[in-house]
Amino acid sequence: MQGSVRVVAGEDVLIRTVGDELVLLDLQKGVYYGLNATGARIWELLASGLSIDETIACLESEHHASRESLTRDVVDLIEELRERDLIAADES
Amino acid sequence: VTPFLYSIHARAVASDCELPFLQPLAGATITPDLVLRLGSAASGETPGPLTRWYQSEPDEDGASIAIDRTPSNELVMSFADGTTFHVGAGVIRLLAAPPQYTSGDLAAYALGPVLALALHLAGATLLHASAVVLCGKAVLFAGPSGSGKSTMAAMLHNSGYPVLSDDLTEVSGESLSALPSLPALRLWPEAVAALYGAGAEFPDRAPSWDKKIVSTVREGMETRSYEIAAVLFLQPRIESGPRLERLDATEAWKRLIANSYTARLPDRSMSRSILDMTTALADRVAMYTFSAADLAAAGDAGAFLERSLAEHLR
Repeated sequence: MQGSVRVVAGEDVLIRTVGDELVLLDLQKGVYYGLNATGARIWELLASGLSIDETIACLESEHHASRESLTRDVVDLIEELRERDLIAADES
Repeated sequence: VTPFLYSIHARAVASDCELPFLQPLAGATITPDLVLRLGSAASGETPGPLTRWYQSEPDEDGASIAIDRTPSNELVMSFADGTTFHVGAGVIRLLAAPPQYTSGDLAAYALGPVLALALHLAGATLLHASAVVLCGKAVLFAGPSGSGKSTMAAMLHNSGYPVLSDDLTEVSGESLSALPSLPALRLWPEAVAALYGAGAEFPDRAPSWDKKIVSTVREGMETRSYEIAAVLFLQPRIESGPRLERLDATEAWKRLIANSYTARLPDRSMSRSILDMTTALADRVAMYTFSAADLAAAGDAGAFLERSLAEHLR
């Protein structure tokens, strides 16, 4: 996925915060996925309409971690969610 | 003609036959919220071509429940023994049943899983739980079939605590209150013998079913809802019990979803309601696992819970 791409939740996915986790519920499969605090923050930024690159830049300003490791966190999460059909590229 | 009127799940329910273990509302002239038509199986026509909407996982006997959609977006619920109900807006209608089934058998179906589906269609959010009133607040006992929800409620009822619901508890979304369901508990014969003595006689839930009915009406039926103080997920009983262990919100939510009625039905608005209710409960209500003591030593369960849950019961 290109860094300028924005992503959205799948049509059959509902998202809620439960305790310290962000929970994505796949209505089609009847399965839920939990994101920890880091994953939840990444999703929050992506869901606010930021592109992948903008999300990484925002995280860089919040954390002391290297851009390389933040990029890996974001890309890994997006790949994992995409493989499970929980997100898709925003075509609009 | 539906001459019998009852208060069930805080709604006025009219039925065309007498429901075997409920007291009709005397002299009431209320417009019913729901109509049960159980007495006319022979004339029940299937409402148009059906499309499969949901099929449950097979149980241990390989039986499953099927739900089909009608052309007018109503539902038809079919059980493995051939018993079939039409669930429309404000009406539950029997379509087919084995000829030997009595009105008690049919009522057991209609007031159990079929009513749960009808309530969901009407926007209700339900948990697989029984509910008991302790210190003016509702404590819910959740768990799968056979985990002891009804037995726990019966134990507490024996100690004088009012029972709000058995097996199926409706949670009011905004205030997180538990609503009353039916003024009766359905118990397995072993639980009846342990709690009331081997010689205790109770009417059958339904002639073809194994469970026994225990009335929970003492001084009139519970008609109001109660704020939920805690949800306890039942674990196997232990000799060294009773024991409570607090759950964090995420773990509690997972258990709530597992115990929510029809959480897997493919209906987006139903799923959203259930998700909202369960996340609100997990955020705002204390959740525990609960291992009760052996049935023989169960007498002080109420005192134990009042003491252990005191901070939530204030």
